[in-house]
Amino acid sequence: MTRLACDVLIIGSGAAGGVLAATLAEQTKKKIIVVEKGGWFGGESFDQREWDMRVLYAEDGRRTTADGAMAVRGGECVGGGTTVNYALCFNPIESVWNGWRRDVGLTGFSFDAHANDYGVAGLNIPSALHEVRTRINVHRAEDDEVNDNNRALERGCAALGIPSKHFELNMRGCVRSGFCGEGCTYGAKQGTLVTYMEDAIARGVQLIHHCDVERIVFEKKRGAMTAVAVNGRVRRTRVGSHPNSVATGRIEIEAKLIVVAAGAVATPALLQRSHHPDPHRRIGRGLVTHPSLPVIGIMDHELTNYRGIPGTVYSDAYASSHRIYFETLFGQPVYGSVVIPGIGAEHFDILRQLPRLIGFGAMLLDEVDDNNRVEWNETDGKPRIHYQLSDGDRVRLRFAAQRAVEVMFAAGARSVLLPSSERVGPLPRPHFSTAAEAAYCSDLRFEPYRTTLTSAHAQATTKMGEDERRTTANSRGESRAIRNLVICDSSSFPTSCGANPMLSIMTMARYQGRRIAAELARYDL
Amino acid sequence: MQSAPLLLATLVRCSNAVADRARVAEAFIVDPSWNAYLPVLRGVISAVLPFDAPGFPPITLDDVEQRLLKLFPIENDVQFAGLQRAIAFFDEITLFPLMSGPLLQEESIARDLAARGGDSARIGAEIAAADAAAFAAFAATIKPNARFRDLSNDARRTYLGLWRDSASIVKRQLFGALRNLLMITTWSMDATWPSIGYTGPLVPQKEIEA
Repeated sequence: MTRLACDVLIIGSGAAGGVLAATLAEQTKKKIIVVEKGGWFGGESFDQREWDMRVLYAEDGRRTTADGAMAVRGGECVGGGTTVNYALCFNPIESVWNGWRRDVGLTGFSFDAHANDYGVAGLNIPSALHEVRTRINVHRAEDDEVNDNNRALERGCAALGIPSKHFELNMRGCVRSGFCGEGCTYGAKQGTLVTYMEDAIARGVQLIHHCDVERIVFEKKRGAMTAVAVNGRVRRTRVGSHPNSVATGRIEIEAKLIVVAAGAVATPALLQRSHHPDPHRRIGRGLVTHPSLPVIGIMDHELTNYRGIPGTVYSDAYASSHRIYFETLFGQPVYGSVVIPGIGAEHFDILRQLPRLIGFGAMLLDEVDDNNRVEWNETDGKPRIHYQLSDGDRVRLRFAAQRAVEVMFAAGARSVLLPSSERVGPLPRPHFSTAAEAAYCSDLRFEPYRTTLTSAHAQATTKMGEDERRTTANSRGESRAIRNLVICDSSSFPTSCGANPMLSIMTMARYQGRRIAAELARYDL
Repeated sequence: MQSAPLLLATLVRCSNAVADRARVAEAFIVDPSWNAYLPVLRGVISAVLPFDAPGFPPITLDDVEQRLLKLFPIENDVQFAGLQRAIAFFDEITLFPLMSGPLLQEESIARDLAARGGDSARIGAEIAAADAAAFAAFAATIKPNARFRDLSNDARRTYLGLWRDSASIVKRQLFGALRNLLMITTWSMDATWPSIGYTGPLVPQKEIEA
């Protein structure tokens, strides 16, 4: 049994935990420990094989909704999602945060660059964002970084008069190998693995990986239930990971302040199994996932798709009207073989045309529905993710599918298919030979295990705000029921943050880290 | 996909509920052995992967089977305990329209009826009727009492199609899970990459432990 004590314990090392650890280490002299469920794999271990690199993902990349139908991808490694994502950066969207002020009474998080939130000099969103953008080198993709597959989306959109843009990316010295989802072998992707976690460790933060946190211990102190420690187990370090800082086996870590940053699936599950009070049944509820429909086009000629930067072009033309983004997406063969529908020769005939395929995703900013939820399942000790599309989201996704198919044809595709076995119009499958057939997308139902949707942006399961009937934490991220417990990750967002969430999460974490550093006395530090 | 073993175990419980089927009892209760499920698994592999299609990678059914059992240790890992016998269940094609007992419970969970409402008995009856109709059309094309392992690859694919298109989420899941396990197994083999024009990783393979 390992027993440790520290001032601040951070659970999770991803977009939120990594930034919090580095920020607190930079701005305080407190003893900080970061615990991470996954391993500490570095670029030298990232061998660009999808099967091998499943070690970087929650449940070996096979985490799905409870009906099994939709993948809910999430990084489970040092760096979390920032290690395995496509480095796509969107600034926090002011209108979304203002909506949270109206809906759940969120305070703080000023978008005024001169604001001093909580009386802390220079604490506001623009300054936190600026600091993060600088550290992770966020920059717009240059024209010569756009590969053929991204060019296809750009061309298809242009032909239909749909504006498209280049992504901002957090990369430095990208070699354009095409491997982002397998972790960056070259250390070019500036996730927290190679930025904030490195900074944190250099400043003396202790990292404990392969660590299953079983529960947070609450005790009554000075009349209030207070988070005082975590109990868990350190698993054996796997081959390929850096060594660990503690021995394998049981572990208990006492801390004055515990920050939960385990992501929108693990965070509510941890609170549930810790028996965190939940008088209004909020924890885990209102899950948002950003379901995405992959769209595949077959061209007449070979092009560059799985090489080059995977994502450089997107369109937000339908973001405000339909809550839809088109984002370029291309995977390696295993991903491709799963997304391409069918079996037998029908399947192989498409897969063998890999060098002629183009692909992008129609990503939906889904609505909050309390029945969409994460529930920790005592029987198998895993979070269960219940998720169904709302009727409104289904309508928006139909529109997106039709528009996406039209864009594919406008880009020059000879045929276009969706990963679906649903009958549409006179077609036995949504496999289209003309742009006019795209109209049959109005028949799509997006039923589980008929149409493949994927997701990678779980959010909004332990919401923050001031409306105590609808949120678990206040605007500082502090649990309303437990002292010295702060929740800060994608679960904190009251709804979808309005785009790919990494930069919103990192900015929030930078902001909260600076705030905590300035308000240490609030947490008995 | 992760819940495939659980789901398949459910199907086995279902088949156990059909008391008068001696062959089922033998296959699933008395003798849940290698031999009971292996011919069925091989049948699924040969239906899903078109080994004789022009340009198909130079791999054999044995290669895929061995790798599948290595990546997903059906015989040795407790999490796959249900899978071995449940693959055998696939052999009993006349059980396809079954929609009752544990299977219906599993369907209710997949549809989240407890939280969202819905009449599970009515849903079960609708599924059973739809699947029975689909099965009847298929059954007319094959020999009575045929097993999956005895069918031609074309007939196997048609049968798999019944699962893919079932009105039951749980049955569709069985098809999807088996299919995806096979896709992952096959297309993660570097020997398959040249045939699809994939030039592969740029660095050597490393020793990584899952």
